[in-house]
Amino acid sequence: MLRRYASVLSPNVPLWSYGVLLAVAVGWVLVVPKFWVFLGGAACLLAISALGLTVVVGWAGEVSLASAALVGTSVYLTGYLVRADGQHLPFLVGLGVGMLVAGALHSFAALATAKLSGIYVMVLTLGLQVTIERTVFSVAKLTGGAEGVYLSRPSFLGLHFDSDTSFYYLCLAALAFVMLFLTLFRQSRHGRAMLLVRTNREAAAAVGISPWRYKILAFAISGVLLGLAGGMTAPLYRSPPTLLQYLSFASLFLLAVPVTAGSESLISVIVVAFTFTMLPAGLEELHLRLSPNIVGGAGLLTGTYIGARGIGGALLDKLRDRRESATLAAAGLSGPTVELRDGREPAVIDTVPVGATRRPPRTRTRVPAGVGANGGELVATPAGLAAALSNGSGLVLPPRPGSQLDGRR
Amino acid sequence: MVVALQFNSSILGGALVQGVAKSSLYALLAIALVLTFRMSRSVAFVHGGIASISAYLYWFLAAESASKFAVKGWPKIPSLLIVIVFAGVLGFIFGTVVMGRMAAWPRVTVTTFALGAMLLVAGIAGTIWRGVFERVPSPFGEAHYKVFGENILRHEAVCIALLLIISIVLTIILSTTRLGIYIRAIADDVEAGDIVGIPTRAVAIGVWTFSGALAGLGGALIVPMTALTELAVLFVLMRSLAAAILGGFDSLPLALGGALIFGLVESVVGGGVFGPVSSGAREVILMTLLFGGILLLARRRGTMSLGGA
Repeated sequence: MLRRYASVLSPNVPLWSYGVLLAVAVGWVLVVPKFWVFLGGAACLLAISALGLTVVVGWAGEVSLASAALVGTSVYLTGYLVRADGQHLPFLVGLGVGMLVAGALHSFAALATAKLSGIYVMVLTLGLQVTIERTVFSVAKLTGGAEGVYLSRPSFLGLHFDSDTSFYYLCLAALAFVMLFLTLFRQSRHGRAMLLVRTNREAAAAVGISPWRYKILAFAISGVLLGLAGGMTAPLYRSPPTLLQYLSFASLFLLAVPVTAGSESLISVIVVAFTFTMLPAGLEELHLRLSPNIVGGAGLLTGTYIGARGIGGALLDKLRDRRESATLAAAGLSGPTVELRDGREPAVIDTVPVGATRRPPRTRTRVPAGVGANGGELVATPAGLAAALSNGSGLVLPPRPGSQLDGRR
Repeated sequence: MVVALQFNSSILGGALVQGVAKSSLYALLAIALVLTFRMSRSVAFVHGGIASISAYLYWFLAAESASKFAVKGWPKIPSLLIVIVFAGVLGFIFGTVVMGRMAAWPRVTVTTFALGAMLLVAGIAGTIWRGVFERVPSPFGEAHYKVFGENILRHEAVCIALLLIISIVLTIILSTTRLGIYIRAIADDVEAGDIVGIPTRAVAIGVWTFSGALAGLGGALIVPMTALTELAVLFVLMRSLAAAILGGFDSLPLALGGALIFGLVESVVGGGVFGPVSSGAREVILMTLLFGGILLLARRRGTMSLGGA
């Protein structure tokens, strides 16, 4: 079991860097002013929303433009259920209902568009966004109307989250839980099936995977996570924010986070979410007032231009190449080429440049490395290269067992 | 969200007139969307951004006074022409990008790129003119006429007339000129157009420029009927998008018909012809229309199959 959870960590990132990341995530709020701690909580919740959208955008290959409306629905519904002048239910119950309703609405959107192609899904989810704006957001009982309502921060299991710092830790814990859940889900049978549907629908259908079911599943998971972020937003602000924060442009801003970060790395989604939250506030400190839409728009343009793997994928490539080059250099093979041998014969099969595993944009690692004994093509994937070298030259590179899908084990 | 079963025939005429006037605004943007869809097979959300910044620019140039901002107070028609040229330049820039390296990219990717451009352009306008909530003067004056006993503003009448002129001119160009044949050929098959020597990229960029200018005109004409806010234009874009979908994204006459249906339904239902209807219920009715349109379109095109892109 422990091994399964450990597999969440990327083999390309040194273990110590996870320790540093954890220390920074926990410790930075102890040394910064309160305003930034509050923003840290907001960034965690934006990251949860963005991770939810990553399931739809990155893994299922669809685009939903109703995300802000779903977050807003959960904000107001959870707020109404929890607050004293509403239903006064326990926070976790209100949060659960908010998550379920957001998940159900998003699933409904997926059901209605299950057999439609991409751009129609975009248009219809934008329609859902506008409809929710005009219906749910106009119910003064939910939103609190012009007067506004007060909402206390939650306490449960004997823990109180009244201060900004403690609430930040609650948001951080929720983010860590979502991250763990999504990583395990991606490695699971269903996660792989979802990725296959995105990569090739016909192939998925041919092996018995229903593209429509996985599209609906992706929307449902995404909706629940958007609902989680929304439900926790209400107590973060102590009063549900105005509905202006959940109108159509906010959906585009949310979409910009996973598109910029790419679907390859969940950590990059979190980093981009923090950047998108902190950057406008940081610039405002420098008296440069910038609409968040500029940040979101620039992110969407950049992310789309880079490709589906996004900034996260590009960074992971760099890390992978560095790690492989360092291993070769440590073995005294830092020259321009590496000789490949079969192991049973002394002759060199082929000579491969050390940097050969660096992949061209938008393709996967697949470096032709010569012809095998039976005439078949030898391919120097990182694992294959390691095996060949360990047989032939006594060199041992850390193997990466297991099949690969979309660059992930 | 209660829809009462009534029929108020006395206000039907006025609601129809208002509906036609609204339709003309939806139709202007719908035409721009259809034209660019025919060139790049993607939804040009960027027109929302172009329309939005054009609306701000028109207000900045033409308004005589504003609560928080220094405005120019220039003559209105020249201001409108400047805005149209500016919007055309934006359309040209975006068209050059989309028809260049991105020409072979998947439709959803290009559409997402257009969304990003819309957000960026709207964000720039929102940063320059932060917190604007203003009434915008019409370029055609404030006079009004009586039609079916209902007041119709000169602005609305000119919008309808402009739409008719643009539609007729476009129909003539598309059906009788060499340029029209090129545009239709590119819409049918870009590769085939390339093979027979049509300058596909130049024609497509030209169409993007024209539709950008049209979006700018639409944006500048929308705000005198609503108010200048960040979301006013986006809301109209949503209606135009629905009209373009009802019209099949391919046919200008059908898109105009779609805009007319949307404008009329919105006015008739919202105007209380069938009794008092909340804005939420009206939105649900329009959303149902949109969904029905998409289903019809998908069925017609066969995009409900697995690989339908």
